[in-house]
Amino acid sequence: MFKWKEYIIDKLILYKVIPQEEADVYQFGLDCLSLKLLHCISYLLIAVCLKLLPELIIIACVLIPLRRNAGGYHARTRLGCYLFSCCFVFFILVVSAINMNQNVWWSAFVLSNVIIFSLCPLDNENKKLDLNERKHFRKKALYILLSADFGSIILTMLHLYHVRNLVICGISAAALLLVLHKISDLWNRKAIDEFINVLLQKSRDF
Amino acid sequence: MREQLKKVSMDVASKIILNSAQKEVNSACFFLGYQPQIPKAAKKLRKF
Repeated sequence: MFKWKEYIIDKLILYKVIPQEEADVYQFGLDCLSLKLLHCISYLLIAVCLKLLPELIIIACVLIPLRRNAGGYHARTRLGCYLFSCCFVFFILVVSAINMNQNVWWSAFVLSNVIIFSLCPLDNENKKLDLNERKHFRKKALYILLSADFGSIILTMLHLYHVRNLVICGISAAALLLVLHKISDLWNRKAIDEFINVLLQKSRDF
Repeated sequence: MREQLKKVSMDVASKIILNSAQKEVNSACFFLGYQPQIPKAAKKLRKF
């Protein structure tokens, strides 16, 4: 298979656009860029198929900054992450299109705020956060959350209920990802504990 | 002219790629996709 990323980095080094020592950094940047493009195109296609493109844009305006600062669930493999994220976006769009009682939206709003306030930020295997980073991202996530909350209240006062529901959807999606991360963490810890217990048992028997 | 265009397009591409790396280093996690491992050399891109 043609390794296009390595080809691009090699060309940039060959034409002395980037130094050899920074090849890793640019490789990482290109990796992230290609993943972002693939995911964005997929989400836009899903939204176009569901005829919910404006809804996706509004939800993304809230979810993207919140998620990037609060962290949350990530699948372990590239394919797993891709499939999970496409299903997640599909699910969020479908929920946003359902005609629900205002009380349901407000309950989701309050619950999501509590979850994000108590859990954020959550790191993952490939990006562990130190104390400094935790303080920084927590502060940013809470500022974004407060802005989204304020926006929801203003939209309610302006009677723009559909847009307000989409904002709440974005906040709830971020909260759901945090909860999924916690569940996955507990599940992995339980699985690890069981594995260690089995090993200890076997060593005693031996 | 062709060489100049090549140089300019490579410069732009390298800036976009570096900007992408910088954004990821300065966020808690990758948005909804696979979180690639951050190389040690990329930590100097941290802004805080």
